[in-house]
Amino acid sequence: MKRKHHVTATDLAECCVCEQRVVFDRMRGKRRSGERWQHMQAGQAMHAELHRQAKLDLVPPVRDARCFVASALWGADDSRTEVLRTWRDRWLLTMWCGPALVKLYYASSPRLVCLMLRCPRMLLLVDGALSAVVRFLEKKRP
Amino acid sequence: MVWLLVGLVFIVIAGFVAWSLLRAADLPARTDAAWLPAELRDARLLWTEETFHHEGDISMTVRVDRVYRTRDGRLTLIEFKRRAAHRTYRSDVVELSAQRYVLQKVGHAVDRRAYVVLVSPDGGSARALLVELQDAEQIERRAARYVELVSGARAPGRCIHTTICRGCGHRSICPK
Repeated sequence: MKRKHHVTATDLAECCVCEQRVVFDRMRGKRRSGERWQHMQAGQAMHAELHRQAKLDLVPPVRDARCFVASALWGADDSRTEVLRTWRDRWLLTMWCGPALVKLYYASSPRLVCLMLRCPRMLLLVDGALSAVVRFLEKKRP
Repeated sequence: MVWLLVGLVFIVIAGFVAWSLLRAADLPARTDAAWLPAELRDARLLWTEETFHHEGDISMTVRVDRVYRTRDGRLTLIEFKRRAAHRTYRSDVVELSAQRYVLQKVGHAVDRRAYVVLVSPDGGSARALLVELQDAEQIERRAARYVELVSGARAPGRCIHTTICRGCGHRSICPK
């Protein structure tokens, strides 16, 4: 019966450095000098810190993609809609009354969109106001 | 009376939104803003320190440092290295290529270009360097060679540089 082999990306990368060391590591376990271990531990600590930071930027697995007014104005995938979503997720929803306000907005905005689409003047007004808000947020956040 | 109440509620909500917009000056910047390449400014961070596995003739497991999804839906890989030298090595390219290989095998479209982010050992600066990744055939050949090496079917090659030997714990028995 054919034996199944298992490889990691690190194994392949290590082979580029020293194949003999890869074979010895496999036979005798990983053996490095004290200085080298320190270097490896510092690398692991760096990865842990970057991972901690990255979680702040991470897109939640099930992100609420709703943003009715901006989606109606510019489209759901527009970068301006995305700026407003980010503001909602990273600022508004973290405030004590934020979730309630967002809920209220979700309840009322479909009607507001219908009204907006019927009245071109209102559409222009909301577009101008929201564009100013987006410009403001973009200035604040690189 | 009802309209007055509605108006008051509207004013309170508008006031709150205006206030929270002004306070948004404190909105934290993206933590990757300092080093993220211009091509990925609009990209979304999809995974961080995530493990993927592909079961095949040779099974492969990879752990990606970060994966970003660009607007066109393609994934871009990022690998962090704590390094003073401002350069990438072949091992970086192979590691990222293996990651791409597995991600593609599990059904993702991954960009052939990836980034190695060099973080200086003093923790100060970080800079992203672009690398071109190897294709699936090259990775399969490397994986097959690895299997031959560890099973004893092939003699291992020598170390790329003597400085590597200085930090190696197998020096006393190494024939090279």
